[in-house]
Amino acid sequence: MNKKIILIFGMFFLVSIILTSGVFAQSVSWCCEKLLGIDQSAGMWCQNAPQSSCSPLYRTLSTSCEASDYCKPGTCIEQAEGICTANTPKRVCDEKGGYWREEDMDQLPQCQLGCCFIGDQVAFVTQTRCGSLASEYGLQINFRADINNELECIMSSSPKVRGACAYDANGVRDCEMLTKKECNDLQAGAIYENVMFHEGFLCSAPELNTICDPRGGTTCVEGKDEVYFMDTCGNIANVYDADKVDTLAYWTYLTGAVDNVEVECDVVEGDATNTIRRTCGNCDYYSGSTCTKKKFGDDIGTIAYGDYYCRSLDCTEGFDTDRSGVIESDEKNYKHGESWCVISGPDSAYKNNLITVKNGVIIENEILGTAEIQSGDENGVGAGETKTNIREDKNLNRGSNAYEEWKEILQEKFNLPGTRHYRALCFNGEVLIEPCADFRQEICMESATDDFSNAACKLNMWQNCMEQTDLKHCEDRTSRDCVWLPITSQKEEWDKGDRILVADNEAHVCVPAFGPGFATWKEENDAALICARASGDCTTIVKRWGLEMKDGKSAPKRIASGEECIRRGEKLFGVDKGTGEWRESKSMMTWFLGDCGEKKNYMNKYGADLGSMFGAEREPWRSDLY
Amino acid sequence: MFNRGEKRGQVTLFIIIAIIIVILGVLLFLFWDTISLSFGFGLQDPNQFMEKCIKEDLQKNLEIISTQGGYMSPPHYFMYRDDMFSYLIYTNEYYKLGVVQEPFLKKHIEEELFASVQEKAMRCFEELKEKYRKAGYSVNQGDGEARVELLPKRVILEFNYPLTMTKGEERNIFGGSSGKTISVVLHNNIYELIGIASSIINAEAVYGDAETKYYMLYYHDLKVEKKKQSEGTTLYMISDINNGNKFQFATRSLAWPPGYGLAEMLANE
Repeated sequence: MNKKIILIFGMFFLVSIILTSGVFAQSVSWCCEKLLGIDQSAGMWCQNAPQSSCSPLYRTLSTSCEASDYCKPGTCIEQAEGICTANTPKRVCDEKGGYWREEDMDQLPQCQLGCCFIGDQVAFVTQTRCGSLASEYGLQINFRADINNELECIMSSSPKVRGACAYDANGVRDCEMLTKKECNDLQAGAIYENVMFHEGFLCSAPELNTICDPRGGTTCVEGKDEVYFMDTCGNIANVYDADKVDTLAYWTYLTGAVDNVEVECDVVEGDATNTIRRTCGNCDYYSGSTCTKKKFGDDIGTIAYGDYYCRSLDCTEGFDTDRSGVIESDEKNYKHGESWCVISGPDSAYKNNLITVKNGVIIENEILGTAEIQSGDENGVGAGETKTNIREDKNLNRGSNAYEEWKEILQEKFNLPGTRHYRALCFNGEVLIEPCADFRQEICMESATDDFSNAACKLNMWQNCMEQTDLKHCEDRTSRDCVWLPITSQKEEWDKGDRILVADNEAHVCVPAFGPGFATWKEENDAALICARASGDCTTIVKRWGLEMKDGKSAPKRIASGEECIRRGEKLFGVDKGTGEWRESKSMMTWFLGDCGEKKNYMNKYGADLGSMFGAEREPWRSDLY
Repeated sequence: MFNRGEKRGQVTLFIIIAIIIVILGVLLFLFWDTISLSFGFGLQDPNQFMEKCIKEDLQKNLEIISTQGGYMSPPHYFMYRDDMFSYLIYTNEYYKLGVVQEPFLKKHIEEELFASVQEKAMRCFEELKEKYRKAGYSVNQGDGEARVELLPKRVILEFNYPLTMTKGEERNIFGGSSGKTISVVLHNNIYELIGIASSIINAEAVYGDAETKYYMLYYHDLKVEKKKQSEGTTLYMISDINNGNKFQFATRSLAWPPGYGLAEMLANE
């Protein structure tokens, strides 16, 4: 096998061994009941650390905390309130007055969460907690253990039936919108006379003959998304619909109480026009709208009735990624609830070069293709299948345009010192930026359904890339984040009796798609240890011609030895720093090792030190060797 | 009409009256409490009095505690933009889940908040009793306790001492079995914010990370921000978009070293 390939694979193997031992060998010898903090009693509980870091006022043990009796983590339970907390050391639990159990939370019946119904509201809590909440409100406990999902719990809350509670007060027939129980309580209070509950009716119903009339304006209601009509007594009526302002039935009955009284205007989406917003109060948080009062400066125009409308929760104004106060331009509007990936990259201003990543690969360039293919994909791939020859179709072979473009992306745009992945989220009209873990230890993954994207930071699984030896395993996105890269290598050939080295275009190596970053500013950092592996010398022998006897005649003989750093036929003199395949091979190694190599940082600046460089020195001819 | 002598006498009279008025004013100003109490003026409802006396401190300290992860003086924190984010779950190692430092956050914050206002609160309570005594009431207090309680949408500082204030036929009873307590109520939803924080802490303890998006989807008025720092700390900022109430804290769980982790490995040997 070619020497260079052996060398490269050997280096990767060595690095992967170091990595593995680095992951598992990190252990500290002592369990400190409490670390030293700003004073002897102020540190963190139950940490593994050198003995000198332990507080002398507390216990220490020459083993890990997981193996100790007082610092062993488990579930801590506050029995009175029904609160369970995971991964709590026994010592901490005892200190705080809790009851400690070794089992995990999901193994303890008293820690199982369910849906607690308290009046009109719900809470996803333990049964004991439900009882505690019910007693605080003075209500009966109603706990559903079969609902074990918070979203399902929230969705299952159903407001109690309300109606018009009419009564005589101060010589007039007044009215409030209440539940039946509340109305009965009013009657029992004996403050008002002739209290009557009319289920399904509004206080503005003419037949109730109350002082409450229709068209008392609109308002928002706490805990609800929609805009509501009010009657003249200030009672909440039905959802605002400009077409129903003068409809008697709409002011008589609650929607849903009778067949022909319903909310007829459609749910207002986040991207609804202003015309719709001015006339319909059927806002919905999950569709991207919510009730708000019109303020001076709002670009909504004149609302058909009242002062409230459905505000869009979508993000349409770009965002300030680095909190500099400058909004980066971003022409795409994002829907409320949508999330997407952003990577910091170089350019004259970092904030102007936000590039999105989809499916873990860079969409700006389709070279890397995708290993997560949805059903109905135009390449004719079924759901869940990985079509490896998409990559081959893209011809990422060395020398191809695709390869050159990919090199440019890797070398000049991503995997630069300081590059970091972020997840951006749109909520309530605001873009929130969440950085993924630094040093590219997490990367952002994004997928889209019907043009609605979802993104998440995930662990950058680069550690075992080098161990993979074929495209399919290398680019298996479920197991790792790697790329099957063609490498510059040479193979031996014979040319007119001479051994020569020529480029081998068939060699590939599995490398991280996003190599890890280094903390180069720290005194002890991986840069020196790892980047050194890409360093090397290539001895170039300037070709000389000598004479030899061949078939009785003197003939020129080319003398060559060692690795060739130059293209065949070229000479290396003067200030030439080395060109050709050797240099490219070394550069390529640094791309995926990490923050090594001839790179600018993500701000398009070189570092303070010289860093990586290629240099050439000319040495005297060693006639004793050649 | 007036001769000179009479005019001078009038002026003197006015001056004397003015001096008397000024002296009375000064005396009133100096001794208003005693005078008003003697006449039954200015004797506030106990709850109103306590609110006026302690509410501002309670509010201020609650804001400090909320911003600093549940502590008035955080023992161990991460400094971010001039705020101290207390660690509620922590490990000093890489690749390991953090251990919970405060398993019962609600109880801790109740105790912390009470401790921060206890001295002044008890002084206010004594002042209240003294006011009633000065107004001629006979004040009797039994054994009990004062405490802070976090409840949905409110924070209550409650003085649950059996207290009887009697004057003639009038009798005011608080605490004990009366069902009436003297308390100060703050409208603040830290109770709800702590519930979210506890859920995040559990997720960090079990998985090493928490998904913030779902909290904002389930609870419409919530904003949950997460900021991962370079050395492995994660900062959480939970806030109510309507009233600006917030709760902030730090975690360090399942952190990854930079690069290959070799430098950290060698440093630990």
